[in-house]
Amino acid sequence: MELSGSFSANVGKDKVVQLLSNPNEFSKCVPNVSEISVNGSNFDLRFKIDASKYTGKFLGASYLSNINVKFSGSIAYSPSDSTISISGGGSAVGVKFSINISLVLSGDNNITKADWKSDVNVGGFAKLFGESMMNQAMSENVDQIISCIKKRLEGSIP
Amino acid sequence: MSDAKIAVIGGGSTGSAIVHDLASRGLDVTLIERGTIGSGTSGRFHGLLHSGARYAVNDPKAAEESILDNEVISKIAPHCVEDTGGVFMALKGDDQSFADKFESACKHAGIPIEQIPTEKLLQEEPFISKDVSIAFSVPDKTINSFRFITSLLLTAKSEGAKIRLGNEVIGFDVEDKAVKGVKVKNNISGEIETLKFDLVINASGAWASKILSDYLNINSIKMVLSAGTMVVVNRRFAKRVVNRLRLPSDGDIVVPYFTESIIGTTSFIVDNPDNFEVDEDDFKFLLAEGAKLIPAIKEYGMSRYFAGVRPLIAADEDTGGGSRSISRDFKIFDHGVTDGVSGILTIVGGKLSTARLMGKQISDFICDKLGVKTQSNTDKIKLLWPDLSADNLKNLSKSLLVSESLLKDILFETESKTYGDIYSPVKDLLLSKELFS
Repeated sequence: MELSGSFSANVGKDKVVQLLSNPNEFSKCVPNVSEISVNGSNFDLRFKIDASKYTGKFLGASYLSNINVKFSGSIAYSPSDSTISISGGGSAVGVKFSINISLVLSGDNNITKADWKSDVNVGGFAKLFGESMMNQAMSENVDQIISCIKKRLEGSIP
Repeated sequence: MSDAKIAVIGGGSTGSAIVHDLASRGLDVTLIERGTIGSGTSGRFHGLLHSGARYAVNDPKAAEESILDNEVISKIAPHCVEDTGGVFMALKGDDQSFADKFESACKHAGIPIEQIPTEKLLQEEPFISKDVSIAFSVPDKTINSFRFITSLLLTAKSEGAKIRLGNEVIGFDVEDKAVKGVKVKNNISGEIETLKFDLVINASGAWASKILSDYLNINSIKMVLSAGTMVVVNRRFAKRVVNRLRLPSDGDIVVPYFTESIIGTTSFIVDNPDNFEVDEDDFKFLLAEGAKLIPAIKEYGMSRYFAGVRPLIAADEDTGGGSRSISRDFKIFDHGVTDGVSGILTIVGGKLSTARLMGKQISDFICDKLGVKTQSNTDKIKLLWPDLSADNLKNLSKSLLVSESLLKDILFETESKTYGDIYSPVKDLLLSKELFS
């Protein structure tokens, strides 16, 4: 599944790179992180997603309203083309997934534009919940993360 | 009264409750179960008899059903239930605002709830984490599912039901798109026979859709199998069931089960309920989460683990009126309507806490179909659990082919010991063997 978009923040490129290429900082925009361990550019995350509106289509799935997600990834920044790459894989409810995200940064000292593209392999989930529900879930979660990143960059949230 | 012969496939809590309900209304019913008591999901859960509080916020209907049957099951099967009580507790750092939502949702669902001062809780439960910030007591209990199912079936047998354990379904007898019988194989003797029935109820839980697909080519039930791992610690730390005060999630409960503690649970999707792998990472995770509630768990570690499979059914499938969601928790499929194959119904979903209710609902549905007016009164029938005395010891010895003196030694040697010693799984096993005889 491919998603893409762009956002602008009223800060210089350096600040954007600082936030997005540091797993400890970036993970603050991932919802409900319960564990994080960082080793250089590699990181392991455990976080929860409120899945009640997705699992609600199943009878007896009340206990699945909060799903634990495990994710291991790495972040790299290429100054030559101002691109941040985040890639990795994980699992939730025993179903594996993988994500590759690239953000191309452009702009001047005061405004930075980030054009992002993500390729998410959630085949197992699409089989369970249906393609359109997965698209909706991914869009909503990505929107939430992007919105948080923008707010953190502009200092409106710590 | 109808003379229809009815088969129930699946001797878990649901199937056993159905057999008891139908037999209590005077119907001719036979249970077919491939394994022994508790060999399916009902024998591999966390042992909780829900108060419903766990679901009060995100599934109020399921919560209401749970508390209703929590009280009924405690009355009809007191020998299976330990009234541990339950506590929902938030830790420092948890979302404290959830507490108000939780309390109000429990009251709305009719679940008795009371806030406990944390100092009082720590005095009564000294092993609980000192980081507790808010706590509520609710009427959670624990239930011995092995004893519950044995008791249901002993009662059903006394009501005229036939119980065929160790009998596996290997096909159906179908004539003119109607199921007329069930082909079974006795897993002990290897004998194969076809049993004639007028109606078959498929209550085989996680195996329900496989049986339909393998033997009737019916694929209308969209089922996802969700397995859950539970870790057992060889020590009981608390009187109460200890729950984390938040929306249901993995690793948020520690259940005191006789002399042990069960930490649950996780959720992962599997394809085959008889053959799946458990992620060993989950053991570490569950122990860590359990230790947040009861720090001493860290020092003991895991003594064993088990995993059970729960079927999840798509709730909003359009089956042309052939299925009904009786609750937010379970559904009945009439395959005569959904698949053009009459003579067979499937009931899926639910939990052990609502098994009796499910048994009643499907029995009402069947009696309606058969024109039987007798109402269910399983909420009032006390389930059989014989006290063993000199009188029935003789009969038990005869039917089990075990000498009286040996039986006496096994059953009575636990007098004057602690509660942990008095609980005798041997008695449970012996009484369950009655069902084979």
